[in-house]
Amino acid sequence: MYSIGLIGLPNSGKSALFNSLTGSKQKVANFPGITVEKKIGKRSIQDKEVMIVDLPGLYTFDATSLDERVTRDYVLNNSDKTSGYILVIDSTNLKKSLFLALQLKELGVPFVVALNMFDLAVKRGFELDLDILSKSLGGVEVTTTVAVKKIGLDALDKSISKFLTGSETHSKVDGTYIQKIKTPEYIKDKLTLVEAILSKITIKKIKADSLTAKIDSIVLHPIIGPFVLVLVLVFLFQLLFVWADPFMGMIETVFEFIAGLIDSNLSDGYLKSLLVDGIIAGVGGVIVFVPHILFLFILINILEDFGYLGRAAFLLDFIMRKLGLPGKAVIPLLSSHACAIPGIMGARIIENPFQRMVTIMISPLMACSARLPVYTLLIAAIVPEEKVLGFIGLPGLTMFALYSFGIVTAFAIAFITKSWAITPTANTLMMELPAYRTPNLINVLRSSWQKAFLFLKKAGTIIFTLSIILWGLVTFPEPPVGATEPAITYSAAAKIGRTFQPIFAPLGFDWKMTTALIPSFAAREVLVAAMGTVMSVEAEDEDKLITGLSSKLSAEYSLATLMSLLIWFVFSPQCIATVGVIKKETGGYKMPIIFMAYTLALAYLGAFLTYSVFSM
Amino acid sequence: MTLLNATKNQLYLISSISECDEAIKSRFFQLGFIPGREILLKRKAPFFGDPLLVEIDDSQIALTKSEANLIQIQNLEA
Repeated sequence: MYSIGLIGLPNSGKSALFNSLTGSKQKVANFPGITVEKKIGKRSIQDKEVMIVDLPGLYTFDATSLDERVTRDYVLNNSDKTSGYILVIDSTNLKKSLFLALQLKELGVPFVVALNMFDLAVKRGFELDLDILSKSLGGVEVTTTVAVKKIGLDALDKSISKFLTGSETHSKVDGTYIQKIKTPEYIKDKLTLVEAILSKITIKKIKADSLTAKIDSIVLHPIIGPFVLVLVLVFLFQLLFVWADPFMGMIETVFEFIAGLIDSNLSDGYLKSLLVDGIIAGVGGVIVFVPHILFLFILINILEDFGYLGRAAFLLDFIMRKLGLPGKAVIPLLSSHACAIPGIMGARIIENPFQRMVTIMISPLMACSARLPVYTLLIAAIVPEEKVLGFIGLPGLTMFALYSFGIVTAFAIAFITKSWAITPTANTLMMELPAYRTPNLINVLRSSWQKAFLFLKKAGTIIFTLSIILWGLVTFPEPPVGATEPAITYSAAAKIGRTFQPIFAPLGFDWKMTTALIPSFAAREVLVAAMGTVMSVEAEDEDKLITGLSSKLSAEYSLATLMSLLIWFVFSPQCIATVGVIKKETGGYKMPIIFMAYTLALAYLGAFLTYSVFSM
Repeated sequence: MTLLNATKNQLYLISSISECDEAIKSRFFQLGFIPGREILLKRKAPFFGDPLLVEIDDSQIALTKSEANLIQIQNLEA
């Protein structure tokens, strides 16, 4: 099959053109061994099926970032597989792209130019001579496009079609080229050439972008700017915490309905238990995250397409830089308060690989919504309903302290690991803030759905498998005939719980607690039901369960033990889905293992210290 | 003088880039920090005055104070 690569500067509208060219026929994968996204789509051009590859944006072949190196190496090493390239140029900012055009020409790579966003350039009074531009680049075909409106695609097809004859092969690129383009002489020479071409082709100069200046004067205003930022972040919080909830509820209802159907139509036995408690619980536990992921990515994509994400990064840069993180890291970290899964995936907006990794590793320390039932239960068991200063409820204050505790620990870890980066990242920002544009909703929805689907596919399989293993552990072996204790106390989980209990004795946990911790690895909130099971507390709904269980807990356990369990849940990685997503996002077992190790260590140490202090 | 001493909304010429890391130098160049080009300090971030936002060739570029300190500028008239 013929293959055409899309190449261009960041923000040139390359992805929009990719979407318009390939429509729904696309596939997202990662480049081998790294987490840079590789998008491949198909398009039929003059009855030939053509593979379109969207390459990460770059400014010059003297690549500095990981993304840029991916594109450089792709162009240098795929001369035999790629028929040609489309150089996508932002028509409103021709100057920078011409440098890249000259390099492509020098490399001898076959390419055509798509002057994208041409409508915006025309609107701003830009007039240029396309023929002279084509001649200046040595006869390369130049067409104009408006990718988001699908304008100019036919002409572009026509210009690409000459690469689809099968006869044109281009020579392999000379390896010394990359060294040559670093020299000041080369750069100076090319810059002069760019200026010369520009003055030759320009008929009427482009007017300044007044809209971008206007919006910036509001969103970057010394007082209004931070206010707008807070509003956007509150909106994000609301979106994930409140508005995603009904959708999660709907998914849960559907799964409960299916479970109910199976329950009433199958006789009791392993098959029913596996289907209801293992598979449906496992699959449901994965799918239930989809609304969060979709909502977060829709918002991120809109903000990014519109151009606000860079502005938010600008406003938050100073504070986050002290922690060794980019301003943008606020978005995944804030999202993690709803759920760490979309947060970890949202860390993709961070370009620097080290900073992205740190953000992924600390996101699960944010108090996610699954911790709420656990915190509520334990606070009800240990914190009296008293008021501090006459109006602040003590339970609420404790909850606030637990939230803050997660954030402070996460920031402390970011601060400590800051110096571990191989290349110092703390003091670099330097980025272009793109001109504001209207986001294309179809593209936003498509790309958000792709991410959610990739999550279902990759993380789903891991989470699903582990859920079934956990089901096996709490189900087998069965209680003997005439057993009086709850069934779980005879299971392998209880055996493991009893075996490992001595390790947890310094934290004040007894075997019932260590047993209940095992199913809670499926999800933190399972602890409430699991403690209810091992302590034989039954109730018709969760609220009643929490009330009944909390009084039993406070009767049976010391304050030190319950405090210790509470601190354990601040840190411990009690969530398979998080581990699965870390594996998927980092592309290996190394980071999820480090994550498990460090959070378990923190949880153990934190709980141990708490228990020791409160038993004094 | 460096970009740090620039007055807001006044045009300057970039005269040179101070010695710095190779990768940072390439990045400067990619974003248009090239001797001879005109540069305009548009605004500073609220509260801390860091990072800065500058305009070169109709593009808006954000950079930290320490990065700005590497950009040598001169008055347009000089």
